[in-house]
Amino acid sequence: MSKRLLSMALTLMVTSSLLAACGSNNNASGKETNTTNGATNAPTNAVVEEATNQYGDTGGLKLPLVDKPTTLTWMVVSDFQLNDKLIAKEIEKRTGITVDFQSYSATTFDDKLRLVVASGKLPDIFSGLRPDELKKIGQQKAVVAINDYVDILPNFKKLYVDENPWVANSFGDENNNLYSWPIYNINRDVNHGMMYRKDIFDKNNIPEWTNTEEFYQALKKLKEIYPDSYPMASKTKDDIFRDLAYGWGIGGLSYPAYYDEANSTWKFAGTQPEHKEMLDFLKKLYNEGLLDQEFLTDTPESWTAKMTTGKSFVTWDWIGRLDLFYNQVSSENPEYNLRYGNPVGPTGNIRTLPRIDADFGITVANNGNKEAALKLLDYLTSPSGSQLTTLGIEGVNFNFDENGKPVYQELTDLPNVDIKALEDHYGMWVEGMYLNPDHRSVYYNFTEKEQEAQDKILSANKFEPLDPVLNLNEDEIATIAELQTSIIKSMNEFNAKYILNKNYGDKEWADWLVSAEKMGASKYSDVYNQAQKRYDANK
Amino acid sequence: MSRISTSLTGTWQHMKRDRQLLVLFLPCLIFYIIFRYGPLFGLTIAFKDYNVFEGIFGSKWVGLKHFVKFFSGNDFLMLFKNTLTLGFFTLIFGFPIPILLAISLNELRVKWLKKSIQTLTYLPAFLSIVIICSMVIDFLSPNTGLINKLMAAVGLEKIYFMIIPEWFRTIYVASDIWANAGYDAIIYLAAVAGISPTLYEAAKVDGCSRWKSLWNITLPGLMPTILIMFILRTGKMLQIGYEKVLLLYNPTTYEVADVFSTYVYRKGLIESNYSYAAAVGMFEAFIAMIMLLSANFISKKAGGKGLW
Repeated sequence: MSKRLLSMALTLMVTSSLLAACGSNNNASGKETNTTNGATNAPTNAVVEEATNQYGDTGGLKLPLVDKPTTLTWMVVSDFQLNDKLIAKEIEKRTGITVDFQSYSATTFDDKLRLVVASGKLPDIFSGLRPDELKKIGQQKAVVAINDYVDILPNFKKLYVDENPWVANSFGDENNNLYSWPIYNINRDVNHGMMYRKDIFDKNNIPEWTNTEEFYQALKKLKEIYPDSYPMASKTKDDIFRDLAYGWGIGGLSYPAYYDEANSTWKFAGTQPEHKEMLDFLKKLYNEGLLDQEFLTDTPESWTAKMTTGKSFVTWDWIGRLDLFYNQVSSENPEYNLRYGNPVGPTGNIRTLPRIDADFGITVANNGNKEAALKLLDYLTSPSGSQLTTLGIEGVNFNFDENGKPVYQELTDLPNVDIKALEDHYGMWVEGMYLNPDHRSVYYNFTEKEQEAQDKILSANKFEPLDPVLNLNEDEIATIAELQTSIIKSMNEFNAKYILNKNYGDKEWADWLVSAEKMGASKYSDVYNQAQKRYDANK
Repeated sequence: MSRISTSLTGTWQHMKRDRQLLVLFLPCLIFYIIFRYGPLFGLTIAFKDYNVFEGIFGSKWVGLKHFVKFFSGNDFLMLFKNTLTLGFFTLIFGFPIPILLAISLNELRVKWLKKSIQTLTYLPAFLSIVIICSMVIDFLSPNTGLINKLMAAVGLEKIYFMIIPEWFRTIYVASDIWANAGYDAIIYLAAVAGISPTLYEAAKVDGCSRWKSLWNITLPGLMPTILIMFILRTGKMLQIGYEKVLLLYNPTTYEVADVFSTYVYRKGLIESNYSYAAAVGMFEAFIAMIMLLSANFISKKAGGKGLW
């Protein structure tokens, strides 16, 4: 009998704790809490003026943003719990809005987001849906069309209506309704490119290349001196074609579609003569043992091993790698000196990174909190808000040094104050939350090597023009999606074979053109040309 | 009327009599209803234009549209062929190895050697697929890989295995055997252990050699297990793990490596084309079911036992 009692008691305990867990979860989601406290005194005009001026340039927004305490839920990508961090508290203090941040790490965020969206219970603010998905649920009135509220959003109006009126045309739906809040001017000018072992080049009196032929000659010389090496390595597998395409003038954000400025038409990159030239060049490198044999299968680990042990000297990657590699090997090889090199390819250009980007898909759910949520985003877009989320609060968590660089007193022990450290300590630089980064932030502090990269490309203006951002409609997206799986696969397959297979040549290229056409290469570019016409008419 | 009522009371009496057993069975039943049969309902999206936000109920019915699109697409034949060949080879070469391993381990009389071989062979089964694949890529690397170094040492040409389509299936199957054979052998070892030792003793008294007793006692004793395992494996033949193919394939080997599951992954997850991916997945499951049923049927016809 006593055993039975015990088991019943245990069962009850388990069940009740489960129920309790569900219950407390509900409370934490916050919607209830904001109504309980509704009846507080609205601030007077004088207080509003004072509060607004105190925090710098709000772009015309009045602080606090709400006249009664409001709680919003905001789903962000972060490894940290943000609700107790400085920024969350400061946002509450300045705007009157308590944000309940629901943070998920980058690895689980996507899955979680899909679950949340599938459940239909959207957080007040969230990001991470693809633009076409966002348009779809926007048209179903699940998220807010931001343009409808332009009159209460002065910062949005200034940046995306007055100064860049093309934004709605590019990122909106057919009716130019914009469902995602763009990010303004986040990119550094140069972020990726060719890099080379300057110590090895110098030691052997090989000058840095300034064009494609010199690049080839440099690799050839390296191969002579180090016959066991493969001078150029790659870790991006088949993305190497997309990344190098800018040097041959056929790259773009919509790759394999790109805008040919000379003819004002969109083309499919994989069938252009320039593409063949690029393949021929890589084939030559491959055949002469200048390009790593394993360039299509190298893992980040094997690539790192090659680049740090003198098996390879030239590669294409992110500029942060310049110092990362150095830090990895400097104790054994203090001479190691990886530097940013000139672009390869006849145009001599690298990609241009967009100034305005709506691909993060930051959006506001269409519910009772939408105006508060939109105003909050507008505040974070203002200079005052941008400073708060990406630089900090002057005098509280940082001060400028004599060079105008921010110094975080509490973080002076850290070897490197990067945006991850700021996220960890203060809740700054959280993905989905920065909307208009302040360029005085540490993110734009370049190391010596990174600065060299910026200067090198900026001074010679070696940028491919940015392609127009087109607004594809649902049918066009479906067409592209349908063509994409097979045509990109075949293109990668052909690229690889063309380079690796000694017998592949002009005949196989001609065959590829025919089969690419069959698979819809021109249909692919037609979609973009159609959308371009609509875009031009809409301007 | 009375017959129905008696059978009903019969059932009721059975249930009453066995109530404790039924309660024991209850968690299992609930598990299956919630986690196995419940999700089957989601397959309806294969017949709809599924829209995440409208939910399964709200989406439009489109009949067999996605199936027709799939069957008439360029990729269908290639996918079908690849999935079948890869599954077939894994079955043909992967199935006998654990049996051979179990039998030879059983014949091995040196206890410590037997134990250590067993441990060594089942160890890879505990490694994650990602590690297995990067080990495979490393072993086969033309510059630094162990295999190529060995080949070079005996004067053979180096081979860049990973980019030669002809090698893909061999690599896939061989690494599968390497990773799983030891683990699968455990079942057969257990079955061998279940054979009564008196049979061996009697055979020995009758002057039977070890080879003969293996042929006449061990193998027949293993046969039921082998048959059941074989039927189960046939059902799984098409379930080729997409992770492994994704980790091992590259542009040059697409033509032999692309299978249903990688296609579903690309279509469904990367392009959010859920309905289409569900249709492809459903077709895959359908084929697997047919194969399972026919393997069972053949096994029964051949005089052996089936699963049911």
